[in-house]
Amino acid sequence: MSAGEDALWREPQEHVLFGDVFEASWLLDIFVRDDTQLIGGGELAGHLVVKLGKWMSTDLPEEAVGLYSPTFPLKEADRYALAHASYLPDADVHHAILVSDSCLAATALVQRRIKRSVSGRLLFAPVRGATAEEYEKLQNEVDFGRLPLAAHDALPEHPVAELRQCFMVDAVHLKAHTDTRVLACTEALGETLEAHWTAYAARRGPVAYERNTLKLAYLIAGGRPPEEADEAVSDTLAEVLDCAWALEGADLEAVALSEEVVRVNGADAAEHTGQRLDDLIARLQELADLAAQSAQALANRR
Amino acid sequence: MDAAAPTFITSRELDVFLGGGERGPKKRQRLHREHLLPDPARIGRVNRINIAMFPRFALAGLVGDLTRLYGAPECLTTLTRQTFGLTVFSQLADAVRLSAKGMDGWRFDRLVADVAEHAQSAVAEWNAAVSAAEHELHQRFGISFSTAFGVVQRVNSGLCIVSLTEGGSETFDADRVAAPVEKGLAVAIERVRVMDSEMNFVMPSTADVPDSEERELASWLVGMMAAPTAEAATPFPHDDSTAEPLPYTRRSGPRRGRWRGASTMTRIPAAD
Repeated sequence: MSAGEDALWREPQEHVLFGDVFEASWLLDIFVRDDTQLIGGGELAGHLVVKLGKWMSTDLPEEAVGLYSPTFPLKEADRYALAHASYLPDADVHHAILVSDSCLAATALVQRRIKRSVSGRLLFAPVRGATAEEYEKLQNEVDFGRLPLAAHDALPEHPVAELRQCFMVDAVHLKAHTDTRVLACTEALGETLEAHWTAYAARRGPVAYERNTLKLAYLIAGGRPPEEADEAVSDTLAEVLDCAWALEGADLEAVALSEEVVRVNGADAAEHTGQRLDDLIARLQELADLAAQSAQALANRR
Repeated sequence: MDAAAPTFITSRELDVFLGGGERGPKKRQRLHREHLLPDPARIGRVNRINIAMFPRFALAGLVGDLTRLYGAPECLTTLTRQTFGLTVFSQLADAVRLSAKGMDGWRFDRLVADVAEHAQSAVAEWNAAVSAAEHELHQRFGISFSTAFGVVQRVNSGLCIVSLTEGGSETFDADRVAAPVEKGLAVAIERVRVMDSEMNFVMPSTADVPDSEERELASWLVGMMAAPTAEAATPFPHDDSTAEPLPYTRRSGPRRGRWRGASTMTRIPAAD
C-alpha cells in the first residue's frame, strides 16, 4: 500500500502535525549498540587546536574539534552519549517524518495548550532515497517497516519513510526548528502513514489485516495459492475489520471531540450525546450485518 | 620551546645535499679542492662511520655564486677554523661522538636531537658562535641564511611535501632531505642565498624534534582530521529489511478497503 498519485503533499500548517516532514543536518537516526555510554567533554576551540598542533610540531587546521570521552565528567544537562547512526557521507541534510500523533505533538510543543512548557520527545522516521528498484519493489510488496512516499522535489529521489529506524527528537529543540518543515501530509497520505505505522508498531490495522486475511484465503484454499473465490471469502472478514477500524477510529474520535466540546466549551451535552449514539448504533448495526455475512461465508468453507 | 635548525652538519648530510650516492662525495671533494668548502673537523670513526663536522654556514660553499664574491671562500674557511677552535666545540664534538656511538646506523635527526638534549649549554653556546659567523658573512658579502620550519605532510613518488608553519607548503626531492623522511617529521628548511642564487637544505628541526610518541600522536591527529570520508556501503550492510513477502499474492487485484476516514493521529484535541 503506497501513496499513489492522488496522495499529494501539502504545505506545512501553522501547527506541527503527524506526518510533517522536517529537513535538517542534525536529524540523524541515532541507535545504540553495546558500546554506547554516556560521555563528557566539550569543544576545543580552533585556535587551541592550532596550538596543540604546534606542540606536536604539526600543522592542524583552525577548526574546533569535539573532545568527548566517558573519562571526562558527565554533564546531566548535555547527556551526551556515544551512539551510532546510519552512515550517509554524501548527504548534507537529512529528512525525517513525524510519526508521533498530532495530539502528542501539540502537548509536547505547547500548540493550542495553556499552562504547559515545551517538553518531552517526539518520534520520527528517517526519510531516505531508495534505489529505483527498491522503490518499485516496495510499491508492489508491502514491507511494514518501509513506506514508499509520494515523490516531491523537496525529498530525496524515491523517498521511503524508514519506520524501522525511528528515533526521538527533544521537543525543546524541535520547537526551535519548526521552520525546517518542508512538507505536510494530505489527509489521504496521513491515513496511509497511520495504517502503515500501526502495522509496523503493533501488527494491527488495515495494512496488517490485509496480509493476514490473505493468509486466511491461503488456508481456505487448502494450503495452496488462493483463487479469487477464496479471496472473496477472506475479504468478508477484512470488510468487518474495516468497519471496526472506522468504529474505533472515526466514531470514537467523534465521541472524543464531542466530549471536549461539551466539557471545555460548555456545549449542550444532550444534543451531542444523541448524535454520537445514533452514529454508534448505525455503525454497530453495520458491523453486525457484516459480521454475520462473514461468519456465513466462512461457515460455507468450513 | 621554539624550533631551531641544526647549526652543524656532517659530510654525510653534505653528500645528500649534493645528490647522494657516489656523486655526492665526489662533488664535495671537488668543492673542497676548489676551496669552496672549508676543512671539516674530523672527530673520529664511530661505529665504522667517519664523522667529519662542518658549521652550518659551510652550506654557502654549495651555492655556485660564492666564487663570484671575492674573498668569500677564504672568509668561510677562516670562520670555520675559528668556530672549531672554540672550547665549546670540543664539548659539542664529544656529544656527537657519544650520540653516534649509541646509534644503530646513521640517523642525523636522532643525532641532533640527542646532542640538543644532552649537551644543551654547549649547543646554545655553539649556536651563538655560528650565528655570529653567519652575521659576519651577511655583513661582508650579503650572504643570507634564513630558516623556515614545517612538518612533512606526506611523501609521494619520491617527493616530500612539507607543510610550512608560516603557511603553505613546499615540495622537495625526498632524497635531498638530510634525515629518513617520514610523515610528521619536523623539519627545518635552511635557505642560503648567495647573490642571485638560493638553495634550500632540508634538515630535521632540533629543539622541537618530536619524539616517536609525539610523531605518532601528530600523525594520528592529522590522519583523523584529513582522512577522506569513507564510502558508505551500499546497501546498508546491517540494515537489511526483515520483511518476508508471502509466496503468493492476490489474484483478484487490490481490495477496495473501506477503512479510510478513520484517522486518530491527525487531530489536535481542544486546548486544556
